Amino acid sequence: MKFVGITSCIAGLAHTPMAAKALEKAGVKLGHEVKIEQQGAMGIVNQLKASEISEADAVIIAADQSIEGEDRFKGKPIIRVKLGQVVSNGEIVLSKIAKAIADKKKMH
Amino acid sequence: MKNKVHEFKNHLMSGISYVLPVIIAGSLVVAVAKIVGFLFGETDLNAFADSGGMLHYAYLFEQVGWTAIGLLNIILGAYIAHSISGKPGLAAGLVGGALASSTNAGFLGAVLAGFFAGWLTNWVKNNVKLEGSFASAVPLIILPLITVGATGILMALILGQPLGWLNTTLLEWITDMTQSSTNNVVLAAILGGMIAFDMGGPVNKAAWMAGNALLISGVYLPAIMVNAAICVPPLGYGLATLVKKNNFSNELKESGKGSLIMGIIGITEGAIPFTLKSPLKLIPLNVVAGAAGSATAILLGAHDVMPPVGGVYGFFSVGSGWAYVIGILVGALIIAFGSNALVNFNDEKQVASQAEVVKSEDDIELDFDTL
Repeated sequence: MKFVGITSCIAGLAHTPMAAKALEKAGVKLGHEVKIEQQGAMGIVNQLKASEISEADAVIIAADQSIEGEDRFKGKPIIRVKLGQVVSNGEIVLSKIAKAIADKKKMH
Repeated sequence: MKNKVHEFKNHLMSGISYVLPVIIAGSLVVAVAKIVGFLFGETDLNAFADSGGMLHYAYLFEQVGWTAIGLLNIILGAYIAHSISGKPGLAAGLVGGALASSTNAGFLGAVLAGFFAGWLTNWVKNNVKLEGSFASAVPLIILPLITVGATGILMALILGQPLGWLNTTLLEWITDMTQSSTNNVVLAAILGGMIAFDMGGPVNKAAWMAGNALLISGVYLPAIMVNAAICVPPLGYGLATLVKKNNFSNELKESGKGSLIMGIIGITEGAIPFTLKSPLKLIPLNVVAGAAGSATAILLGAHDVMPPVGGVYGFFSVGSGWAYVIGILVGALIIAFGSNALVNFNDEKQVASQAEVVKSEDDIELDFDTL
């Protein structure tokens, strides 16, 4: 599956890149394509392209604050997760999301 | 309801994230100027407001710092409103935040103004619609007029006085409280524990904000408590990797060096990779260490002389700076030895099975949404 996502913490120093790396690593391991945009202290890093968003099966948002450009995801399934859980257990979070999205698709 | 609370917290934290760099820069600039003054044997640069020479330049530089610090309410109001309603909310948020400063409504006033400005902007966006050629007047004339006007009326005419009174009373109460050394130690323990609890998360930032909101009102002691506790967790884990080297994987030994540096300059986040190895055991340890470090510093007599600078080297901005350093060391040593006693950082499997906050997918919270 293809996922895009956004991570953002308050200071934008540590949790933001750690959560992004955790999800991307989990993606490699579980065989999903994952691209995460980091909204941290240095502004937006690894910005999502419109084409990547439209191709994605779902949007993962892990943020301690409101994020920039949420309207880009209009019409997409959005899954909000706890930033702390992503940092510590990226793989479990991603596999649960993948299962949930797969279930949803089956229902349609 | 839970979502509303969550949203409220998110907007507040967005505002604070914009405040962070400005306040940090401001207090560093003030400290540099003060130190130049100290080198010349002067404790109060205000005496050189109208004179010439080096000390006058130091005075001017100090004012730069105060200007930055003085922006706190404005930025907070503006970016809370921005978080709620985007660009259209900025105008009312800026004005509301500035009015919070001028009416002495302070930090609380700025938060209130920001939320009011943001919500009102959203309401106007959704409800005020003009037909035909007048439609284009809404975003640039009608919306700013209504939102700035109403926020102004609320902040200046209706809430200015009561909020100013509340803020002044609150400040007096806290100032009185900081006159008693017992209270101070308790306050230090609470703020220190909060700082260490989530290492850069919302609880940490709440304590940080409390310290800095008081700082701009001229009450410096709580910021000293906060600054001491910030150094404790990263410094503690950095030391832990030196105390018992074979208890750590190579990867964590490397992180240990970074963590030491983050401890010295005062970034709590440095402790995260270590704490994650076994949060159930290590978060309580961090809280105890943060509280103990902060309380020890105050107990030994660390006190305020100027806006305190963060990091271990911030001791120069603290009265009885040695007490501040000892406090940090006490907290850091509790973590350095405690963490080695509680957790084997080497054995990933053992740690993972012993004390993971998240044991299975059932513990993960997913919240589905579409726009």
